[in-house]
Amino acid sequence: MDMAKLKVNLKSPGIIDNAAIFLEDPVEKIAYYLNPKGSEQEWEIDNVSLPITGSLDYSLYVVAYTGTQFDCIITNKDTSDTIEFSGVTGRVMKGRANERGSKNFS
Amino acid sequence: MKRFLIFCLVTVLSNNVNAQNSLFQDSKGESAFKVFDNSIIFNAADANLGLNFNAFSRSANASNTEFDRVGFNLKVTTNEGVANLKNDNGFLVDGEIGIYYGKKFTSDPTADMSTPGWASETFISSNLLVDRNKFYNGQDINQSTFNQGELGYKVEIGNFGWYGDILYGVAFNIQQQDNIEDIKQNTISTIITSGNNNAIQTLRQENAYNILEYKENQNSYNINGDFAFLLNPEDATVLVNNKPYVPPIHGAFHFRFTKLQGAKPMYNPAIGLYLNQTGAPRNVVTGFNIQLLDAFNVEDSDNSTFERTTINLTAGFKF
Repeated sequence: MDMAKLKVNLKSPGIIDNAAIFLEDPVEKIAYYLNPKGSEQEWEIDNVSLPITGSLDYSLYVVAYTGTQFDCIITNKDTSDTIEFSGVTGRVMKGRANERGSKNFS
Repeated sequence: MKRFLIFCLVTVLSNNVNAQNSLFQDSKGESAFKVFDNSIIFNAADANLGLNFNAFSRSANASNTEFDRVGFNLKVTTNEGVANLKNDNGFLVDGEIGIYYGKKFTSDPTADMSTPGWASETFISSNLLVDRNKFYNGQDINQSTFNQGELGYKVEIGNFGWYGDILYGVAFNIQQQDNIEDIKQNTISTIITSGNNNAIQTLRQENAYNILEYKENQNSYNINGDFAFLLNPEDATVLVNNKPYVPPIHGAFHFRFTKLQGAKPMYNPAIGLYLNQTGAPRNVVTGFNIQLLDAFNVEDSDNSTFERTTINLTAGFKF
C-alpha cells in the first residue's frame, strides 16, 4: 500500500475560527488541525502522509459564525489530483459544521 | 510564535481611501468590534500612505483552540503637498501609528456536535496620533492663518467574539486628543481694496478653525458594547448548488458611555439593522443605526430628544 502525501486547504469569503479534519479515520481518533495562513480566511495543513487505496474518507469540522461558507480542497501532492467539497456553518448546530464523505481523487 | 508579514500593494489614483477598521462606528467613530486587513495603500493624488498588517497564528506550545494576533498600522498624510515631514514649526503631517495584540480562544472543532460553536478574543491596542490643522485668531482677524499640530493617544482593552448566533464586543479606552472634530471651520477671505474706485477683490480664501474654540489635550475615557443577533439563521444556511444564497441580517444594540474631561458622563445608546454578505455573515454590505446622543441630557442641552438623535449609515465593512 502506497503512502500518499496530502495537503488540505480550506477557504472562506468570511472568517473561519478553527478547523480540523479526520482522514481515513472512521472512529475519528487522530485529528489534523489546520493552521491559519496569516489571516482567518484561509487555513491549511500540508504534511499529511496516509496509506490510500481507492477513495478517501474525510470528515471536516469547522468552527465559524453561522452562515459562513467554506470550500475545501484535498490535494494528492504526488499526482496533483484533488477532492473538493463545500459547506456552510450552522445547518446542524450554531456556529459549526461537519462535512464528511468518501470520494476519489480526480 | 511564528509571524509572517503579508503585504498587498494597492495604488489608488483617485480619492482618499480611509479604511475604517470596525463596524458599528457611531457618530464619534467608537466601536468594540475589531477587524483586520493587510494592506499598503498609497494615494498618489493626496500624498497619503497607509500600511496595515496583522499576523494571526496558532499559539505555540498551547492547545488547539488558542491563537495569537499581532497588528500594526501606520497612516501618514502630508499637509499642503509638501515633502518634508517636520520643520521648526512642528509636524507637517497628520498621522497615526498603532499596535495591537490579541489572544483568541475558540471552541474545539472536534467537540460533540450537540454544542454551539464560539470564539472569543481579548485584546490590547495603543495608538499615537498627530493631527495638524489650520487656525485663525478670532480676536485678531488681520493675523495670518497658521498651522498647529497636536499629539494624541488612545489605549484600549476589550473582548469580542461570538457564541451561537450572537456577536458581541465590549471595550474600554482612554484617549487624549484635541476637540477638532467638535468645532467647525470658517472661511477666511483675504481681500484687497483698490484705492481709486474702492473695488473689492478677493485675494485668497482659506478654511480654518478659530484657535479660541480649540482645546488641546482633552482626556476622555469610553466604554463601548456592541451586541448583534442573527435574525435569519435558517435562511442564511440554505444551500443552492452547495452555496448559501440568502444574505444574513442582523439586529444590533450598541452601548456607548463617554466621560470627557470637565464634562459629565454621557450615554449614547443605539440600535441598528444590518444586511450582511451571503456566505460571510460578519461582513456588512449595508446598514444603519439610530443613536441617541446624551440619552439622559446631562449637558442640559436645549435640543430635544429627537434633535439629539442621529442616524448613521454604514456600507461595506466587517465585524
